[in-house]
Amino acid sequence: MEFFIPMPIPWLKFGFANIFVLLAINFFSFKDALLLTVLRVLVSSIMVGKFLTPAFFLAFAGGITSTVAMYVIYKAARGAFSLIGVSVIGSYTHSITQLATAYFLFIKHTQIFSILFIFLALSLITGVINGMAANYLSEILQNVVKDR
Amino acid sequence: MIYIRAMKATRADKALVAVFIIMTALSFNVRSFFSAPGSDALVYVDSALKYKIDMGVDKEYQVPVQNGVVIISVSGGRLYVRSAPCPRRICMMSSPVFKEGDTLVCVPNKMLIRVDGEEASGLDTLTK
Repeated sequence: MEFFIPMPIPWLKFGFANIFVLLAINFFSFKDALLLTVLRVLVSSIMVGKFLTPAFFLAFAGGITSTVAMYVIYKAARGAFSLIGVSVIGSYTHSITQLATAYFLFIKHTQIFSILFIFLALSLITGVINGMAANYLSEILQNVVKDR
Repeated sequence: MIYIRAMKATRADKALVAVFIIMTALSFNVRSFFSAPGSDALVYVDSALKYKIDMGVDKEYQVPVQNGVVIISVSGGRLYVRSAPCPRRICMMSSPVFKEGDTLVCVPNKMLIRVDGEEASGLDTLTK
């Protein structure tokens, strides 16, 4: 759905879908979060006609590794981090995986790593924003669950 | 088991973000860790490829440009401009280039030198 939000830079996305992966990790299970990620990547790539293109493989690799990393951190920290910390870990993993995948699969040129700085800086910002949103939604969901 | 209930950022969050800000700052020059010393230097004058210099051989090269001759020197796998007929001599004052992807530019002489590695073909997936 994010495809429809206009962006100043073509390849920059906020990764709002990650908010729901965070919520899935917090309220459901690792399996659900992973399933959500895989289905999200598949469905969105088919919808915008990017299935099996390089962009799809990048999104797929980034999605899986970031979900795994976020879950590991979530479990290991046992609540020391709020969803902001988990989200930032996820966005960083996502960026690094995408760049590494791009390097090994498509562009065998070390110059690709010059953009790592921009990638990491942007993913830090979006990671914090997504984490804040997920924290907020988490609190709301918590109350909904309690009321029932 | 739901670990996270609060909507506020914890102290660990802030620490993590601080660490990541530092990591991001450090990644600014990360390419230099990945790139190997280059094997060749390509010399372009007026956008046309003029010379391919072997970086493994210590030697001096004279490159004719519009206003005279630029002398390029290679020593110990590092390449620098020794003499150039331009007013400000910025290319002469630039640090030597030796890594894959390094570039040395001389604007008044319309000269560009790029260091190339063995694996780097300069083509991306699309052009291949």
